[in-house]
Amino acid sequence: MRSVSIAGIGIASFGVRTENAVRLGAEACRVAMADAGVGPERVEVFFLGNFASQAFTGQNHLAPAVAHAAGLGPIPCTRVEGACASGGLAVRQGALAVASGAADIVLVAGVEKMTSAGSGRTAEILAAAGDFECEASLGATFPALFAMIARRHMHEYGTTHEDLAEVAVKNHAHGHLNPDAHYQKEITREQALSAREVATPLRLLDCAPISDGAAAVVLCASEIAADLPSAPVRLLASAQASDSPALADKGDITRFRATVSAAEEAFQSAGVQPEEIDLAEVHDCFTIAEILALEDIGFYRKGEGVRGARDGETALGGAMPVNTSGGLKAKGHPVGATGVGQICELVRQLRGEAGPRQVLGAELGLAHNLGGSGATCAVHILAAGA
Amino acid sequence: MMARAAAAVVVFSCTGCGRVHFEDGGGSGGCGHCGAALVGKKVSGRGNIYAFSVVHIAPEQMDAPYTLALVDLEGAGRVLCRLDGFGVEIPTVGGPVVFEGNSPRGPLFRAGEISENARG
Repeated sequence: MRSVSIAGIGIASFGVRTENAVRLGAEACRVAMADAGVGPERVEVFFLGNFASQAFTGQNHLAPAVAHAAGLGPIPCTRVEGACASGGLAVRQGALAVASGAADIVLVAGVEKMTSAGSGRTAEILAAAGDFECEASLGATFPALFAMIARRHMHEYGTTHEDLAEVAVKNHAHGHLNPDAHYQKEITREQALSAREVATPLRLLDCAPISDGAAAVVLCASEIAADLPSAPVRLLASAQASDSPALADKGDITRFRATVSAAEEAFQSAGVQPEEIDLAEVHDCFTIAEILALEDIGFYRKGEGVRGARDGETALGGAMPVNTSGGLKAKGHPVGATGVGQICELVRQLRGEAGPRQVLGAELGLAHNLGGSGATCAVHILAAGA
Repeated sequence: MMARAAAAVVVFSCTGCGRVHFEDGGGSGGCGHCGAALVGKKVSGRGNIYAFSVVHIAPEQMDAPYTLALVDLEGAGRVLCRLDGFGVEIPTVGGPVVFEGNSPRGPLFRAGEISENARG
C-alpha cells in the first residue's frame, strides 16, 4: 500500500448557516483545493460524508451535487454514511483509494445542514442512528442512550456530574480560540451544572449542539505531496470497526468495542503507542463520550478518563490536549462534517498553524470519530512531516 | 417505592442474536432483528435496573418526561424498556422492577419487589 498525505484542508464554518448543504459542501471543497494548490481538474475521486440530508433538507444524492458545485469533473462521486462517523469513514475511503493506487489525488468532504429542522424532528432523525426497532421506537433519543451510559459509568466508577462538567468547560475554553467554532464563548462550571435537563443525568451543556457546516481534505500519494505548497502531513493509520447499534446488545455499555478495536488497529498500523500522541480530537457528542473515548483508545485506564479534564491534562497546555478545536461540544457537530473537521484541526496543529490554540511541538495527532452509540468507529493517526 | 409482586411472563429469546422479545415473531416468524428462530420461555418477570434516564426532550409524537431503562430480566437477558410507577421516587441502578406488560412504546416495567438476586 502507498503512503498517503494530506495536502489541503478546508472548513465552511460550523454554526447556524443560511446556505444549503450543497453550497456548504462546495465551499469547504474549494477552500481545501486552494489550500492544497490543486485545481478541481486534478481531483480523480470524490467521497462525501453525510448522515441524513434527505431527512433534514429533502435533498438526497448529495455527492455529485456537491462535486458539481465545487467544479469537479465527471469523476466517481460517492456518499458515505455511518451516522456521526460518516466523515471519518469518508476519509478512510479516500485514504484507501490513494493507498491502493486507484487514484493519486482524492477529495474528501463531509457536510450536514441540520438547523432547519425543529428540535423534536431533529431528535427523531438522530435517533434513527440507533436501533429503530428496539430503541428509537421507545423514545430512546441519542441523549437518552448516552445518559444511560453516563449513569452506568457513574455507578461503576464513581464518576460525578461535576466530572462531566469539567469536559464541557474545557472544550468551550478551546472553542473560544477557534474562529470556525459554533460556540466561541467560554462557560463556567456552574452554568454546566445548572443547565436545563435533557436526559438525566445529562444537561444541555453536556450535549454537542445541532450545527450546520462542512469540512474537506485533499488526500494524495505522499510522493506528490512534496511538490505541493502546504507543509506535508502524513496519514500514518486509518482504521475502522463496528458493533451492534443497540445498547442492550452490548455487555458493558461503558466500553465501546468498536473504539477499542479501531484504536488498537490504528496504533499497530502506525507503529506508535498511545503515550506518544501529542494531541487528539475525540468524539465528544456528549461529555461522557469524551471520557469513554479517552479510556477506550487507551489514553487512560477504564474509570480514570475523568482525570483528563479534571486535572487539566487534556486542556491546552496539558500533557496531551484533547479537542483543541473545541470538540463537537463547542466547535459544533454538523454530523457528516465532524469526522473530516477533526482531521482539519489535526493538520492545522501539525503544520504549526493553529494560532492561539497551537500545541507546541505537535508531531503526532489522533482523530476518533464515533457513529451511533458505539456502532461505528473510525480512528486516524497523523504525523507532521513528509 | 410502590412495590409490586411479579407475574410470570413468557418471553421469546432469539437462538441467533440473543435478543429478547416480548412478542413472538408474528406472521413472518422468527426474530425481527436477525430472522433466526425464537424460543418461548416462562420467566419470573422480575428484573433489575442496569441503567436508566429520565428523558426531558422527546422526539416528535412523544410527550416528555418519561423514563427509559436497560433492565436485566431474570432468566432472559437485557432489554430496553419504559419504566413507570416510581411516582416522585427516582429509580436506582440495581433497583428491582417487574414486567407490567407491552405498551405502544415497548415493554413496560414498574418498581418491583426486592428480588432474591438484589438481596444477595
